[in-house]
Amino acid sequence: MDLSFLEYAFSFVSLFMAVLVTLIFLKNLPAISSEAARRSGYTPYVTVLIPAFNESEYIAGTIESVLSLDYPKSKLEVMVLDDGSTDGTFEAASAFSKKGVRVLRKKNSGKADTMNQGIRLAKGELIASLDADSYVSPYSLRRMLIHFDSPDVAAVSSAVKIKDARNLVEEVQRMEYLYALFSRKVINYINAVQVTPGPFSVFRKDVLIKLGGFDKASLVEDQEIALRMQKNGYRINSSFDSDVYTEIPHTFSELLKQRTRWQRGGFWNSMKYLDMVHPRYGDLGLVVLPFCLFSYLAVIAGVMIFINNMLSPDPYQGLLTSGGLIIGPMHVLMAVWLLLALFWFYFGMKRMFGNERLTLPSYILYLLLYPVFTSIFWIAAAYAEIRTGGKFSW
Amino acid sequence: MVNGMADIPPKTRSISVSLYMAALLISALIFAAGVYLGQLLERQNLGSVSAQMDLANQKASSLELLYLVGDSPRYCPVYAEELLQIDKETEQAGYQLSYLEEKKGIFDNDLKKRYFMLESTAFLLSQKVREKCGANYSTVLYFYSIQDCGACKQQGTELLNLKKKLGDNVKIYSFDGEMGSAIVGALKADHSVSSYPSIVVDGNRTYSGLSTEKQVLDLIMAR
Repeated sequence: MDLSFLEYAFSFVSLFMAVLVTLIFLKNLPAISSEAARRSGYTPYVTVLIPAFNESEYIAGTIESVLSLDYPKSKLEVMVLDDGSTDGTFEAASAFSKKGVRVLRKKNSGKADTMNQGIRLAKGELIASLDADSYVSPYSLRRMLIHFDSPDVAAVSSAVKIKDARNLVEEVQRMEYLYALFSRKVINYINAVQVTPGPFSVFRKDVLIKLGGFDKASLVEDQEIALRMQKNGYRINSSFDSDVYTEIPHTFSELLKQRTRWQRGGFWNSMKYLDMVHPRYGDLGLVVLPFCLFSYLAVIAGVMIFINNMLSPDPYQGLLTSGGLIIGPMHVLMAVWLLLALFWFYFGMKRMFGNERLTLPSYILYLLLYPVFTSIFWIAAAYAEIRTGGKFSW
Repeated sequence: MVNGMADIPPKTRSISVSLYMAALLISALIFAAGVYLGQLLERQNLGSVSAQMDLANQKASSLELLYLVGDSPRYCPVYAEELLQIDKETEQAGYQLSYLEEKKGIFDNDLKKRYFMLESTAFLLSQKVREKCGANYSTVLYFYSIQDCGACKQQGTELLNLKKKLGDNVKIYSFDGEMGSAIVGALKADHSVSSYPSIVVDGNRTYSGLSTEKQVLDLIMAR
């Protein structure tokens, strides 16, 4: 079967999105430059809420990073909510009680429910949710608060990064996080941010309560809450200079496990909010959400093309020796896309993440490997859905 | 907690219409230019095939000359070596031509005619060398048509698979029987070919209709 029309269709949409991102980026270039490293003078009462489940290895580091935040101590509450850990997380956290950290424990009920209980106990006007394996930089909170610049801003996301990459799987993730951070900032300029990353995000408590808190049924509750906020007319802002470093899966199989959950959760979230694909929801509903759905189709089409090639292999394969590589339209379009991606790298990412190690080979490696990784994650997610009969979802 | 939705209605959101128009225009222009440039680059391949065929033709002429000069069995190793080179280059040119035509829809009838001439030359030379020196390979002539020949595509694939298995032990020469090339017409008449697909194994037995890879292999082995 000749599926080349699919390749043309998908490459056109990808090209359109790449051009769109580039235009938004160029339009807001002055804003990006002026936005970096501003420190908020606005200091409301903030509760840093750390839900923890079996994180004894990292929790001390997490709490220490919070204690060194540049923020008035009288305006900062630090609360660790232990979700029934069995590895001594509670004990490790309790060592910080004398430094004023509120350490509570409860029966295991999952992250979303733990967060919701914490929200009810929190004294802060803002809730900063922090994963128990993530470390905030001292300046992060104040740099995030500056983005609460209007009453309809319900949340601000942080610059989640990875400290050191020790192998290929980690390096690809490190580049992925930086790339995602860049995209999230660009998309922020059309008010279409659709995730408030778990490692560290700050929320208005009254909005969280009004919306009913985090969704226990979602596998990726940090995306679900963001979509719900968008749906209810709130804004989410993204900051790129509020460094927060998080622990990541070290091996491919650990990564596969994490991403299977993300892909499944992400898919069901987009199904749940399918009605947001509507011009009523502005640029988010008109372009960003449809593009997410499109990327699902792209994965399916990619797998179809792969299977098609396997079933009817090119008869000339292995016979063409000289001049075997025929450069055609698809290669030219890929080259154009690559040029745009290089533009973002040199003029966007390098500018925004000056303190990070950004090398071209790593970036190229990421661009090449990431689609392969994603396809594998999708297949794993689809398999998990079928095997469990769609449990963990609605 | 209950998923109680907040009671404020969604605010009217802005749509960046001008941004989308600009992005659409720019990406459509890039897309069109990219596809056009890509097709130009694809056509360039015809030029490189042509150059490759010139090279093979030169070698064929020099072999003919050698044949005229020293018609003696002690030249056999030289003949065999030269012939192998000619066949390899002709084959590659053929694969590229068919690949470009089948996969990319790019072809040039004059180039195809030249290619069939080259193939005929290579085939006739290999016949001569075989008479003189004997040979450790088989030849298969394959006549096809691009009109009204349902089995030809399949026959082509069968032969390509056979070639992959046997390598230098088989030489396959394929001809479009309906192209109006004089030399191809002569070969057809020589081997009483009247329908497509037809194959001629080792220059003397003609088989009409689809022959599978296995059947052709058996014919070669039965030699």
